[in-house]
Amino acid sequence: MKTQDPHHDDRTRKLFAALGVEEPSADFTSSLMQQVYAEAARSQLGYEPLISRRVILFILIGLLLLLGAVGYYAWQTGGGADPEAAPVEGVFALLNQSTDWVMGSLPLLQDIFHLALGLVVFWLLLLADKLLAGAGRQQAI
Amino acid sequence: MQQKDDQAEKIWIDRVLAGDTGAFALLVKKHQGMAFTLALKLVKNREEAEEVAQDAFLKAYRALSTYQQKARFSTWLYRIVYTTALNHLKKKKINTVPVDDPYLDHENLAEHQNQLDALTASEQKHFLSLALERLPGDDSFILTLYYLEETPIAEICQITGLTESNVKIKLFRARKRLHGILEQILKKETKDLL
Repeated sequence: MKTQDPHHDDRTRKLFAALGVEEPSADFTSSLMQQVYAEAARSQLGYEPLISRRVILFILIGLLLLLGAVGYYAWQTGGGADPEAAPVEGVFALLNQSTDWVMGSLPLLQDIFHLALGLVVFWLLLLADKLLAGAGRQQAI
Repeated sequence: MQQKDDQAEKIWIDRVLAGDTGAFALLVKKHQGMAFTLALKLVKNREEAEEVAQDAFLKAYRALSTYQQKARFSTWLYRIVYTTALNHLKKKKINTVPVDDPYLDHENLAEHQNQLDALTASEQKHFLSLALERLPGDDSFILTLYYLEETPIAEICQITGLTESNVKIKLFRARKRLHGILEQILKKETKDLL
């Protein structure tokens, strides 16, 4: 750098040439790596799903199809939905209007429906948690 | 050589991101000296500097997936060291800015130059270390980055968050203060010898 005090600049450069880098204690790397390994294990426990992302995606798609199918079935068989409504509205129709019909006539269907709904909500919460954790990590630095 | 180093670092980073946590040790070994030195310049205490450097490396590990490889890894890491050390000082409520600044006014350059020239390399190293210890932390930090690590001004701006003109002014003043302190130390030494 050319500055207004080249004398000091050159002299300082020469002085620093003799000065080495300070070394931390001998166990610096090992103690740090212990913390890093602990951190890695913690993050795996906290955020690594037991089932891979691809499998989760397939399950989610399957659950959505199942919900759609139940809604469509309810709509087709007049389980409380408006017969003039489009098939995509079947799920909402089922949720809003035909709960009694499902509960009364198809207890197994009701269980599957509630289980599927619960899993979808759980998956969405997990996704939100991951997104928030990622944002938190970025803010931490 | 620098490009080769950067390539090696990129491979290590990719390995860590792929789950090979042990590869992070390679990055630590390469940068721990300078990270510790920079932390020491700011906090002025070896134990605390180790704590700050370790904390900075841990933060770097946690945020490694967000590191964009446009900047050098060292620049990114030193930025973390800098902010971690400043936060540490803030917690301890240590003011790094001196109230008065008597060292900016020295101007007996010729005598100072002769005194420095008369010293051996190890004496110069000893007195420079003493002077750096007495210098305000941010001055010492910026001088170390520029003269010891030979970090370009543009990268110092990224690390400290200062503008280019601010960095240049800080460097100018820090250099002046450093030589002022050196002059005082050498005067005292000469007096003690006589």
